[in-house]
Amino acid sequence: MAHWAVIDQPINPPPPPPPNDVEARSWRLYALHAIITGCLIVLVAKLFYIQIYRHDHYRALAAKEHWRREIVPAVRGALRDRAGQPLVMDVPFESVYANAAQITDPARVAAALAPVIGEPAAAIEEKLRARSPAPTLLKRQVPADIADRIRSLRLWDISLRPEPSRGHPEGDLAAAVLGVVGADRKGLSGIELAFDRELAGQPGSVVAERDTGGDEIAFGPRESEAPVNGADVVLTIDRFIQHIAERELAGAMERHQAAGGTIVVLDPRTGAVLAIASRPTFRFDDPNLFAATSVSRFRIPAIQDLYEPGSTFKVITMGAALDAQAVTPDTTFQNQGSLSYGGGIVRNAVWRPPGPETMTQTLQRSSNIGAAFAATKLGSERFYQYVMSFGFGRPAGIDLPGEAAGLLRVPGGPDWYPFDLAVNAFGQGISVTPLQLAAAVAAVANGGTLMKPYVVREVIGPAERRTYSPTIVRQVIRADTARTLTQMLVATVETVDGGQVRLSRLPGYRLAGKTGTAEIPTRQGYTTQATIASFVGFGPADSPRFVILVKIDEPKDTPWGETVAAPIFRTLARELMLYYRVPPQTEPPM
Amino acid sequence: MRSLRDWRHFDLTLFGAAVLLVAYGLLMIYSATLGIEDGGALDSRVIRQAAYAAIGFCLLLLVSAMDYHMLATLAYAMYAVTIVLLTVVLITGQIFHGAQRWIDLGLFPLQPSEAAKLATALALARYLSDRGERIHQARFILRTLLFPAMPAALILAQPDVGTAAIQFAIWLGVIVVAGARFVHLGALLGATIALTPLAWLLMQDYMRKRVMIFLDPASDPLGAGYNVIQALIGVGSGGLLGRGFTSGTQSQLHFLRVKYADFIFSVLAEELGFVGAMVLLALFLVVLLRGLRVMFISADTFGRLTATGLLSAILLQVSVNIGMNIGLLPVTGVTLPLISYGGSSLLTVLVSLGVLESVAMRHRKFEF
Repeated sequence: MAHWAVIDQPINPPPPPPPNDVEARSWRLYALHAIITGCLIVLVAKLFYIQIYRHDHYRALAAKEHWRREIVPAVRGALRDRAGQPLVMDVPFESVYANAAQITDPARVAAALAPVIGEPAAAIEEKLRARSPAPTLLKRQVPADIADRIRSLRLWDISLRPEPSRGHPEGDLAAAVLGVVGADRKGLSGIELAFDRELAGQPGSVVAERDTGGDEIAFGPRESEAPVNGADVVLTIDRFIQHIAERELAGAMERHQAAGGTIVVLDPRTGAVLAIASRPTFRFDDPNLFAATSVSRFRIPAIQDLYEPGSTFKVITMGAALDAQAVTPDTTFQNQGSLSYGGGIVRNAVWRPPGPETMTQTLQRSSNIGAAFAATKLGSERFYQYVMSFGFGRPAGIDLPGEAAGLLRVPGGPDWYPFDLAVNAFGQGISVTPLQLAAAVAAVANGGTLMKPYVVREVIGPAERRTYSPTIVRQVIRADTARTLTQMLVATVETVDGGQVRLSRLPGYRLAGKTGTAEIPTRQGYTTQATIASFVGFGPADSPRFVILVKIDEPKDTPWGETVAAPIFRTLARELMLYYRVPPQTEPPM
Repeated sequence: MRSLRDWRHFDLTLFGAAVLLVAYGLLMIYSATLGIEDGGALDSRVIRQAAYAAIGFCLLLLVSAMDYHMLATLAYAMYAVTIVLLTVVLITGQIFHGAQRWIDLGLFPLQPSEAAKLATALALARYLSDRGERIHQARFILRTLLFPAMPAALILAQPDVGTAAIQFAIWLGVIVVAGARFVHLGALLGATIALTPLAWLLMQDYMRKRVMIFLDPASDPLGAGYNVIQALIGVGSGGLLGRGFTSGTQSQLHFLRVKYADFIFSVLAEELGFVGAMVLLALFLVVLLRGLRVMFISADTFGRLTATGLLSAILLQVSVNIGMNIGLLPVTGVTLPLISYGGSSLLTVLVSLGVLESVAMRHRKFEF
């Protein structure tokens, strides 16, 4: 058989010499044989070097690029109202990134992505063409359904990373109290800031095999440390009460062309905040949320803004004087149109003819002279003791960030003058926060106990559950003093003045309260052009369920607390009575 | 019945090695394309490649049955057609990864630069077998240089340096076996070395970049050096036995680009390891040595020189392709014969093997 199995073995039988000019088995063919063998030897040698000798090195390199430790963000806790209704919760958005340096066909990738993420293809292509070696952000925070559609495109080098965002099911309800979360997922204001640590949770990590886009391989081996999700924070705020407070505030702002306003609703028995509404405020969906003008609105005016309480402060003055037994409701003094004290003269806002006036009438008529009489009767030392005991001059201690202390000058202080006693008595020369005053009036409502106001009632973590109970600060006035004062405040609401019933009066219910019309101090002194119209009160008077403070800044049509703030108090009180199912009483005999 | 007797000399070893290589290639293309399509479905590339393989083996048998002297008659015409096609592809060709290499024939895209290997080998063999006595003249050798130079220039313009280089490899193999003088070969080598700096100046930016990347892949790890590094990591992390079929992380996680074509060797070496690579090289060795045997036994100069040209092309492609996969050579668009995805390449190599078989079947010998 003339068939050679192996060419370089001797051939048997030998072939005939080829007839052509080139010697068939010349050295040239053997040289080609040698070249073939040589080429393959070089390849084998290099392969041996890489695959066997340097194997560990390359194995390590491969592991380094395939195994990546990736942070898995924890779900940030939700903020809930007192009934558990969510006010803020994480929405699982994902952001779209490109590994642009590896994309060979940017036009195709851009064309595929454009309709899904809703950006012009040209813009996407431009970003891809930059071929940045760092991940290129194509679209921030797309919702889950869009993310799934992007995944189904199966584009290499396009990856999705979880970047959840805060969603607000109730819109801008209680926006300032809830607060804002920055792009870094850290709380910047409100509860989001105050309870940032609890809400944030602990991010976990996944060590997983990744492809070049950084996407996890579906069935790749992985070891992971599960994230510990953030705790839910349950607020004392009642969604319904907050809503009606904001509705009434917005209505009043418009009606009176006001510059701002605050409504605080407290539960006097516990100090729990039921609603805090403030204007101006911000919107969560404001595209310029982090612009300087918006950031200033992250403040919570109810705890951070100071104002002179005006006549509403007479409640405090009267409580102090009654408790110290300096006066009784029937203590009478002679109103002479003005009162000189400590080098100054006190006058009433509305002139009344001279005559006798009881302490009850002082509150009913909102008499500055009467309040100054009570305070001077009490004496500066005891007056300021009571004022501080009611919680003024230091933060009320609410669990929200940035609370102000108020401005209270006391005897012995650098700029206190004896005349201050007489004007402080009717709320001038003293600055408070709306919350401080509401909390102090709550002490009157609940029988004399100052409760520390609080807005978070429970923190529910994955592992533990922390409940905040009401905290007693101190007994400020005796229970019987509180009862007496409450009757005087009921009488104030029930006053019929020249055939005119008070606008705070709610037929069928006994409400207690006091108006205030404070002139706003400026550098030039008090101005009558701009006032703060306010009302503070509570109800039902015999078993109070709520304290409401209404404060409207600079109403343009009418300056009076009675005409601006009292009707809001009445509306809220009516809604709350219905909400709490408090049946109306028969009208007490007048 | 002469033609029936010829089939006794059909080289079954060569044919068998080719079948095994194509099967090996299909398996690796299957692995490399896994997961590109949805739902783990068989990638269309695997099916297309299998179809090309079936057509290719039919052509191989058809060409084997033909007397290769017929090809000598057709050689110049085929060469001329190839030049025309290479010109057409430059004008109308489809651009893919920045190079114009394909002509869309409607049914399938044709890559004339692949067919050009066959055409150049046949034309050169014809020319030199007709005028073999003048091989000792330097001017004659320079004239033969035109055969690879024309297609090479057109291929270079696509641009495709690797495939252009193969044209010269064919030429070099053929003139060496045809009997070119040592002095002339030495002068040629000297001239090539002398012209290298000039070549650097003539190179386009991307070519220079590739050479620089070859010299130092880490200089641009996320850009041009990316695939070189990824291929090397793939090969190296394969080790002795590999990560297992379809389990190569470099390929399955898409770290490697166009892995089913030019970088398929890296997929193979990663998944099947040193052993798998050795099996592949052994199969190539069988093909090359059986081809060498064809040269030895060829009945005439045309057959021998044709076989030389075709074998040179295959040898250079194997060396250059694997060389670039393992960091021995710069990256060029050279496919791994019979293994890489690509219809034109597969058909060309299989038809080349058909020509070798045809020569083997008609070698002159004593009949018993």
